[in-house]
Parts: sequence; C-alpha cells; structure tokens
Amino acid sequence: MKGVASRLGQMVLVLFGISVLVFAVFFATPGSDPSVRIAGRGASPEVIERVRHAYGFDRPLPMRYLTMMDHLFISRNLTSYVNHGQNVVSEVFAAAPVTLSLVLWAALFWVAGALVFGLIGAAFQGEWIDRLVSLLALIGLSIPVFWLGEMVNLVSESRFHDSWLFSWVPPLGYVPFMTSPLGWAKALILPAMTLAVAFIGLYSRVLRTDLLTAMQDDALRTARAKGVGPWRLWFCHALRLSGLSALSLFGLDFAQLLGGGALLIEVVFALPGVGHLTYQGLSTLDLPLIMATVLYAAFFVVIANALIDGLYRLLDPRMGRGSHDG
Amino acid sequence: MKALLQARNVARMYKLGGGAALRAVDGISLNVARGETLALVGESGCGKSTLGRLLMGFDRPDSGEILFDGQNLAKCSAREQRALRSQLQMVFQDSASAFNPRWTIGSALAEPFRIHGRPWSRQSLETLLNRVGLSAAFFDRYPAALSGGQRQRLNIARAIALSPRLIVADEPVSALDVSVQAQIVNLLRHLQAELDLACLFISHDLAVVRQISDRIAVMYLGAIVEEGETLALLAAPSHPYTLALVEAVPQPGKLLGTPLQGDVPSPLSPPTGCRFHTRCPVAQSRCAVDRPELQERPGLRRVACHFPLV
Amino acid sequence: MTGEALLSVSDLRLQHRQAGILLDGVSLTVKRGQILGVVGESGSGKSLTGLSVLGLQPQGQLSGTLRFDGEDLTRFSSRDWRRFRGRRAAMIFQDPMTAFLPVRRIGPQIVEQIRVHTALSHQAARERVVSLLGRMGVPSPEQTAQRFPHELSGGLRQRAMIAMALSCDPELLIADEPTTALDVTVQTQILTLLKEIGAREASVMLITHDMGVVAQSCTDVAVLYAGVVIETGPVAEVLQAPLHPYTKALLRAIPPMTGSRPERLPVIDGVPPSPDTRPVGCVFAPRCPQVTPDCAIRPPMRGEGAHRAACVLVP
Repeated sequence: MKGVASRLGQMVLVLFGISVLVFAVFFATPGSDPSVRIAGRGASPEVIERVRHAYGFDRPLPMRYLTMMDHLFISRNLTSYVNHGQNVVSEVFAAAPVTLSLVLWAALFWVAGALVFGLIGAAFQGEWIDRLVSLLALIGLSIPVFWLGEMVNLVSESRFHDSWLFSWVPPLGYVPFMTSPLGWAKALILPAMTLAVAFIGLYSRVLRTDLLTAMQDDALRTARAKGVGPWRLWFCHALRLSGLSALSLFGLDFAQLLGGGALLIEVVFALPGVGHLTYQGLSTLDLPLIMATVLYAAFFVVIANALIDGLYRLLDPRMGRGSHDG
Repeated sequence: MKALLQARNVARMYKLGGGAALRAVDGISLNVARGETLALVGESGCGKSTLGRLLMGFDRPDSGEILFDGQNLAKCSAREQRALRSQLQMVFQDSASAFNPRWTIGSALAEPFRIHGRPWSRQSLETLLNRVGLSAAFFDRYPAALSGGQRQRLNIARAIALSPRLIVADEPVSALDVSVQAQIVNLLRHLQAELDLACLFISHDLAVVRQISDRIAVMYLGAIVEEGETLALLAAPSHPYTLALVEAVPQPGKLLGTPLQGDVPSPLSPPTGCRFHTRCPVAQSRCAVDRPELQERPGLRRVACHFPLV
Repeated sequence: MTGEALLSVSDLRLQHRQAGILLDGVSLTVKRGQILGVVGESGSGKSLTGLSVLGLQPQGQLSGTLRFDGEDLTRFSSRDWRRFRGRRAAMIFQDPMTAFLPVRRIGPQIVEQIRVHTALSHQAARERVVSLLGRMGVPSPEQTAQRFPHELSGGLRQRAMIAMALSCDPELLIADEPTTALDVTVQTQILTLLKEIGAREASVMLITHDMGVVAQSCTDVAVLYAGVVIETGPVAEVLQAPLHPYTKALLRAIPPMTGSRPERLPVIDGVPPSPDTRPVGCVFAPRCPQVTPDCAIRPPMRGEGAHRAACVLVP
C-alpha cells in the first residue's frame, strides 16, 4: 500500500509541475494577454482595463494560478476565455468518451497488426516476405497521418463512396455508443485504422527485433531441446519473453493518445474528442481550455504508467519481490 | 614480521528493502605480510569479493579498521590516500571488460602513470609488456587483438605498472582454460618473487590456490572458518567445511567424494550458532546455539570449530 | 557395463558461413550405460557436438554421420527432430538460471515437455513432475514446482533442469557444462546425481572443460582439440596412459592437490588455432613438442582396443 501512496504523491507532483509550466509559458507568450482578446477587437483601453479587473488579471500571478486551480478542481466551473460561459471541465468530460472509443479501436488494430507483421517478419527473417513487411512498416511509419486521413476521406467519402466497398461508411463525425452501437463502430473503424497505421509500422519492427533477440535466449534453446513445436515456441516462449518490453512502450503510447495525442486524426475525421479540444484551445490561445486538456492528458499518462508497472510486475515475477529464499 | 595489510574486525552490512540486512562481511581479521600470498577461499555469497573491495578501499567497512603499511586508509588525507593507492592494485576476473576497446594497449598501460602523475616513456611501457610475456608489437594495437590469456597478462601489466606492494586479485584465472590458467599462475608467481609483491588471491579453485598461495583463509557466510599455511591446511584440514571443499576438488585419480548436503544458506538469514552446522557432517547440538570463535591452534593455524578434525 | 552403441558420430564436420569450419572431424560413440565425457578447452567444439546431436547447431553445412539407435539423424525432418528432442535425447545446459524461462513457474515448464511428448493428462503430468523432482533430491517437491526459477538456488535449479530432461525417459542425456556455474560443494552433488542417472536411467554425454570432472564421473572420454576428436577411450586408460601429446599436456597443466608443489606448472606454449588458421595436418602439430614431418598429414585414429588417438606416434 506504500506503493499506492507514493504513486499518488508522484501524480500530484507531476500534475502540479505541468500546470505551473503551462501557466507560466502562457503568460510569457507575447500577445497572449487574455484581456485584449476578451474585450474584443478595437476595444478602448478603458474597456480592456475593466475586463482585466473583472477577470482578475491584475492580481499577482500566484493568486491567479490558485484561483484557476480552484475553478478547475474544486468548484469545477472554469469557463473559457473565448466562448464566454462555456464550462471547459464539462467540455473535456464530454470529449473524453470519443477519444477513448477511438483509441481503443486503434489499439485493437495496432496490437493485432503489430503481432501479425512482427511474427511474420521474425519467423521469415531475411526472406523476401520479411523485407516486404519491413518496407510496408517503413511506409506506414513515414506517411503523415493527416495526409493519410484526408486520402481515406477522399476515397471513402466521395470518390468511391458509392462502390460496394465503401457504401457502408457513414458521414464524418461521431455516434455515441448508447445511441447506436453499430453506428459507433462504423464511425470509428476508418479513423482508428488510419491512426493505427504508423503504430503498426513501429510496433511490428520493435516486436520483430525483440522476438529475434528472444529466440537467441538460453531459455528458447532449452525449449527447442525439449521438442517444443514452432507454434508453441513463438507464441508461448518467444512472445512471452519479448512482449514485456513492447508492453511498456505500448502503455506510454496508449496513454499519450488517450490524453489527446490523436489530435490530427480527430480534426481530419471531425471527431469531437480531447485532441480536437486541445487543437481548439491552442488555436485560440484559450488558457482554461489548454490547461484543462493538458492536465487531463498528464493525468492519463501517470495513471497508465502505474497500470503498466502493475501489469509488468504481474507478468515478470522477478520484479519487485526479493530473490532466493530457498 | 610486520604486516603490510592488516584487517581488524572488519564488518560490512548492506541494508536491503523490507528491513532485511545482508551481513556480507561479519567481523574479519587477517594479515598479509610483505611478499606473501594469502588466498581467500569460499563459495558464492561467502563475502570474499566484498572483503576484497573493502581491503582495496573501494568500499568502507561499517566497523573495524583496515591498515595498509600501518596507516588507516579511511583516516588519511586525500593526498596520502593517492600515494597509498598506487601501492595497492587490483586484477579482476573479467579481463574483457577491464579495458576500453577504443584505447590502444599502449594508452591503457599509460593510464595509471597519468592518473598518479608519474613519468613514463614508450620504452618503459614496452618493457612492462615484455615483463608479462607480451610482445612489444601489441603497443599500438587494441585489446580486441588479444586472446583471453593475453588480456589477463595485460591486466597484470597494468596492475604492476606503478610497482605496487600489494595486489588484490579477484578470481583472476577462473575464466581461463586450464592450459592458459597454468601460464598465468606461473607468471603471477614469477612476478611476485621478482618484485617482492604481496598478493591477496581471491578464488574458489583450491588447486590453483594451492599452487600460488603461502597461506589460505577459508570463508563461509561472511566469516573466516579456518586459516593456515597452505600445504599443511590442505593436507590436514581442521574445519569440516575446509575438508568438504578439499574433497570436492575434482582431480584425476581421486574418487568422487560424498557431497555435502544442501546449498549454502542465504546470507540474508544465516543459521544460528555455527553457520556451517546445517550442512556439517559432524555437527552436534552445541553447534546450533553456540557460535565458535576463531581460535589459535598449533602450527600457525586458526580454526572456528567446536569439534575440529585435527 | 558397455552395451550396444546408442549414439555414433563419425567424421562430423560443420562449416559456418561467417565463423568458418567449427567442427572438423568429430568421431565418438556413446554406448548404452556409458557416461561419456567430452572434454576440451573453449572453442574446441565440444558444445557444438552436443547441440548437433539434437539438431540444434547453428545454421551451416553439416556433413558426416550421426546415428542414434540405428536411425540416421542427418536425414531427420523438422517433425522427426521435434519427436526426438526431449523424448529420446534430452539436454541440460551450463547455467540453469537462464536455461529456464524466467517468467514461468518450474512445474509448468516441466509439464509442458511431458505434454508435448506424451498423452498424459495435465493432472497426471503434474504428479509425474513432483515425483521426478523428488527423485532428483529436491526437498519438498510440491512447493518447489510452484516456484519461479529465480526463487531457487543454483543447485536446486540444476536438479529441476535434470528432472525436466529426464521427464520423458530419454535414452541419452546430454549435459553441457552442468556444474560450471555452481559452487564446488554443489558440483559434487550434481555429479553424484549424474553418475546415478548414468548407471540406472540413461546414457550420459557429459561435456566439460575439467579433466577432474571427467575422471570422477565418466566411464569413457573423448578429448577434443580445435574441432577434432584427438583421443578416445575408457577414462582409466586415457588418464593413466594418455596417448596424444595434447592429452598429456592438458593433464600435466592441472595443478596437483597432493605431493610437492612444482616451481612452475607445465604449460602448452601458444594458443589453439582458430577455425580459419587450423592446420591441414595434425591440428596440434604447431604446439606439439614431439612434432614430426609426418604430422603434415592429418593422422587417423589409431590404437588397440577402445583406447585410440589421432597421432602418428601411436603404434
């Protein structure tokens, strides 16, 4: 239980650090003075001054920071500087399920794809099929995701929308699971696949290398000397050994995407997710929105790290506990 | 005879997580005289390497003191320490990782001179190479060009570069093949005689130890159980553990002895009383509660056993 | 004591694309009930010989014959190999810490091997594992089967490894430096166990660098040097009256444990040849004190009876 407490402390520290950083950077950015923006174009200095006072921008920075944190975490009524009256906290909470759905779907494709391509690459090491897979992975890694997204849209939404292949594709946007599970799935499949492409490229390479390293391991030599067949060898032995390092990478990427890393995909496919909100906040220099989305993202990264650590401990008995007491 | 290196009641404990403590070295006293070779013998986890590090000054003991030439290393000024350090050198087991692969053999040999601000010349380094049986042609080559045995020779050359008075050698020949091992053992003995060099030879291999050492200290779970003159000790061990070690040396023309039961207990929870009593073939009830002290015996022998064999 | 030949290897050669010719004429026989010591220094090809018997040698050109109980191993398909490995011949390795899969418990790893080769139920396999561990001298075998490899001491791990190797009653056990990573007192325990196995359960091929280990635990010995078997024979004969100058020198280089202490240990000058500098003639000729012009041609094994050596000096 000591571990949980220290994790919590660590999380608070991380969130505090990030929020201070975001806050400080925002006010150090030239032209970011929110009073000018709130007052509107061509407002007189008196009006700006009045706005500044009304919003409390004339108070010292630490005070303003504390007020903002109070609005964000305790009274949870932090409002946007740009769209007056818009509550950013509820905004983020409304966007979270969209991102979560997208990333879950993407993770499904990317884990499956990475497993298939990684295993193929490792099993046929050096042969033409390995080289083909490696080339595909490189292409997948280097295609800009927004370009790929636009292409997918172009093909599936307009050019070939009437063909049998793409006639099922719904218009851009999101359908909540509660409204229609089928619609939810349909709306997410293409964005998720697009998002997964680059990750499949990266993970299949990582997994292939790890698998080949694992195959050189003494334990795998033992498995072969036992007479274990190729399927068991790859799946029960090599994958079990090499999956561990890919797992920690996966945890970080997954959390990063949940926190809004899928921004470009959300924008291209018009999904109202957290990434979309972050994009919106950044393009309008809306501090409350930026603060809310960034802290939300940091929260997920810390949580995911803790989860992955726990999983790691579960999968690798050598971690944590003391060794030989026999 | 005045001791060159003296350890008085040295102890080192490592604190581990969860309140556990590892008594790696538990109150050890020993002497190494000028030009003498003392072998530290024992199985894994007995603390022989930790003791070696303590004696080298790489680690500080929790209690007890270590005197080199009468001076306590821990209490010396930084400058005096440096001067003492040059008289105290170490040779490790893993000769492959002991050298930076991107440095030539010449510059690796010059390093100790550089560190201690001593003058050197190419000629003196080449003489050094010849002294350990390496050709001077290796001077401009890289460690990768050397075989395992040659690398260990280079290691020894680096250790004797500053004409030290004591070498601590931690399993210097265990990674080598028998025929190469014999070469290195011969080299060490030759150098010791030539340079009046004392040596603390840490090893688990009694056959090698018999060949190279004047005296042997046998360690078990952090403490010395028997100490004595090499040939006499190996011919007639007093401690049952020493006897078991001697019996366990596989040699042509000797039958496989009756093995000791069980494994070495974890140093995290050593047995009460005599630490060896759980595996001892002659243990009696007293051994489980009463820890025997290391006691002087006739013939310059020290034994920690209630029922010594000789 | 000696029965029919179980394994016979003759003139085994292995050429690796990068490393060169790793094995250059390995011939040896393991008879039923024998413990054959395969002894040599690092790089002599002793471990490779063991791996080749299971078809686990690194990719390369393999020639020569490998016969196991009349079957030609060089013609095995990968399916044949899978049925052979672990079932008819099993192997244990130097470091039992890394040889087990670190992330699974000991018991299931042994159960896996039993289930790969037999139709035993999970429950029956588990019971067999416990009884095997007990037979190998593992205290409280039920609990030990539930432990992870890192939770056991080196000696217990190696006993568990031997239990796994014997789990399908193989006819041949190949032990590759099984005691090198262990403490000396534990080494004696494992060697005693291997001796019992050799006498009762399976023939053993004990690969080691230590002539002392061979002397104490083997019935027969094959001495390897630079990828070539240079001497074979019953242990007592080879150790008492070695024929090959290399075997003689190797035995002399062992520091004695009794008698007077020599001023200098006898050494063999020079180093063993690497795969690409191996002489065409006798492989030991460049270091041999008794070299003759005849040594320029690789000598065949000669000698009377079971004790033979590849040296021109042997009548």
